[in-house]
Amino acid sequence: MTDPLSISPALSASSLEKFTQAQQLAEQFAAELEQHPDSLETGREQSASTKPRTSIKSAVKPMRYQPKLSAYEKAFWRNRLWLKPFLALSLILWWPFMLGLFTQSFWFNLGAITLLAFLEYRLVQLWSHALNTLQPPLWQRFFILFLLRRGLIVLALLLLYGALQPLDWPLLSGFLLLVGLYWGLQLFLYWQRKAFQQRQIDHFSGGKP
Amino acid sequence: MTLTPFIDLSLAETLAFYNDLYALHSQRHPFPYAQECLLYALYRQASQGDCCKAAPSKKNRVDFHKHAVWKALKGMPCAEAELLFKHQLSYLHQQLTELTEP
Repeated sequence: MTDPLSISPALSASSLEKFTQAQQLAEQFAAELEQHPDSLETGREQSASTKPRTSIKSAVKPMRYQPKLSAYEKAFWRNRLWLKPFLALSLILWWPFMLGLFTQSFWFNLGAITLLAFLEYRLVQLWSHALNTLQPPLWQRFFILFLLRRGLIVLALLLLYGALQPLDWPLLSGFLLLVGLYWGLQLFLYWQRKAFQQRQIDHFSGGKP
Repeated sequence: MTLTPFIDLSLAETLAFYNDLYALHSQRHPFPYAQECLLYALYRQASQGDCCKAAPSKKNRVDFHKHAVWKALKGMPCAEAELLFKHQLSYLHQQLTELTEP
């Protein structure tokens, strides 16, 4: 082993003492390993496997439920622009049942309604999948909760219909007007968001202030 | 013994030399374990200062030993640790050369 005294003028006494202690400790560990030489190989393997990775690219794997931002944004706007009005429009299919054109068989009516609701449910699951990066909301996870939510919406619309009936409005055009207003609002929001994103891109890329 | 081979080199250059020495020597013979632990501890002390990291698992023997030796150097100034690292490496280099080329 080296003689630390040979460079002692450049070192303080406490440093020399610590160096000697560290040297003794290292020799002790080496002697321990000489008694169990096989543990060195396993130790080296373990230390190699637990070394932090130097490449970020290899360390970060895309998560299954973590889609790209673009896919998320796409799903977000599809959901906002397309899905809700679509669900609203699909209520037209419910009108025959609402307007009293039920069949005599209760189970047939129930089956038809459930089938319609199930189709909507599957479409919602399909289109909103990318949005659910953490967990889908409860009403998307369980069909019974979806039915409950749908039932509430249908009831609300029935009540609205009942309240508006004395005004003698043409029903379908009023409904389409509402949907049109909704689309207009969403398109306005989309345009706003896109402009904001563009401003952000300009700002962070250092192009425009 | 003099410190001339490494005294003018930077810490990073000395480390590069150590890596080469380690790679070359361990191709034929096992690298001296005590020196490996000691040089690791001195380099860490020189580059990062006192050890304030949690000790690794005891199952992971090599890392545990190196960590313990680094911990023993607590309080040593970085400049002195760097000097000792260079000194120790130069001594080891000399020793290994004598061993392989009698």
